[in-house]
Amino acid sequence: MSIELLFEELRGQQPPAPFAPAELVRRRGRQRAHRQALTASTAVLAVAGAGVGMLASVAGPPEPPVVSPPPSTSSSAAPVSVTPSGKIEPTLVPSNALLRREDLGPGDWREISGDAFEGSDIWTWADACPAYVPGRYESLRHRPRMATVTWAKSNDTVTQHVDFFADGWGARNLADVRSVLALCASSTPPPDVAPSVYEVVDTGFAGDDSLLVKLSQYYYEEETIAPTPFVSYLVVIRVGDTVSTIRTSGSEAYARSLAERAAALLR
Amino acid sequence: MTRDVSDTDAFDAFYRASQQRLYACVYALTGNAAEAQDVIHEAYARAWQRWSTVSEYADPEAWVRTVARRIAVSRWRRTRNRLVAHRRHGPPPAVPGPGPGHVALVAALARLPVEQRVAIVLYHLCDLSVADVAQETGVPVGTVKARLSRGRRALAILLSRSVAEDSHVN
Repeated sequence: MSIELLFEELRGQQPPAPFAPAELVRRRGRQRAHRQALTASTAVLAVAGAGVGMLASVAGPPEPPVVSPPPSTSSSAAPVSVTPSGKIEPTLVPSNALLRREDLGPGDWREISGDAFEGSDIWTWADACPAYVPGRYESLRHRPRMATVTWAKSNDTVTQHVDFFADGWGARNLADVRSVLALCASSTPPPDVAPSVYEVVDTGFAGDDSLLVKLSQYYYEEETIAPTPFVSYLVVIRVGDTVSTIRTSGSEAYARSLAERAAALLR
Repeated sequence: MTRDVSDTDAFDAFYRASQQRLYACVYALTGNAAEAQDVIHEAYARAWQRWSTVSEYADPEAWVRTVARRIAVSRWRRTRNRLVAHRRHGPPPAVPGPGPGHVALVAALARLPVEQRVAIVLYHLCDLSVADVAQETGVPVGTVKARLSRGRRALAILLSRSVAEDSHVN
């Protein structure tokens, strides 16, 4: 069953008990307001009683979380590809830069199309870890052309992004990748976030420059982090100012073989 | 907190019309049906507290959803720290009647990092576009796409493992 169908099923799931009548919800709101007013009054009295002239800092009920009203939301679940204003509109790179079915090895590989989340306006390393800071990586502003493809067979996937950079910015992009990896390696995730560990396994094995990165993505099993992470490999190959990034759920050896194919396609 | 009848009627109609949608979102976020129901009751109670303002928003449901999501995430974080104590009292009650795929999906969602889970739930269950998810969570569109991509990939693996485990049992 597809993930979309499972979500559709979940959408109709009824709660374990009927929803509270609206009157009870309104009463809860009134009680909440009353409690807040009471808390605030007590605080004011306590401060005044202590003779501390700092009423301004405690007067007034605590506010509910400040939530700016989001804009009217779309009722459509259709994926959209949005390019923020001011950003370079991507155009397609030559299709021969992308891995083909015959490059992937044996198996019933099929191309996955229409997945907006592998779209051309994302960067593989964006949001790689909680410390990632969007907008910090200058090379991404010099990326006029890009393309992406995703292949799948049974439980294996291969995703490739090919980015064309302006003169000299391809090498700078590799520096940005290394910068993200260093940032993630040196930062500790918040206690409730299962870590994703990026380990540089090899460099300089293909193209003008390259990286082979092992990604161990941990996750929670109940209250503890599962001992066995999801492991995948990412390879980054630069040829001139073109950077090809491939992610595979296959082995390290398979990732290296894909890197060689990708480098050959860029020559 | 005096309201006139039209305020009350408008709130009640809004509550009835949107409660099921919001419940599905928060349930997917928390993985706990009873907790989800309490969270949305709390969020609607807060909406009623400031209904004169919230009702003027272009999309009051988005406001309630944002509040509910923050309450859920906040409780989830606190609960994670208390889970050892909770386990002394046994597991939470099972949700009545869900299908096996549904259970597997909720369990898989619970294993995702919270940022990925929020992005997936807002997109797939709350019917927000990628741009709206970005707006609501305060991150760039590209970051939302990365979270959706990573989250869906992890979900696919978790669900396939779940199917494999079921077939071993059977």
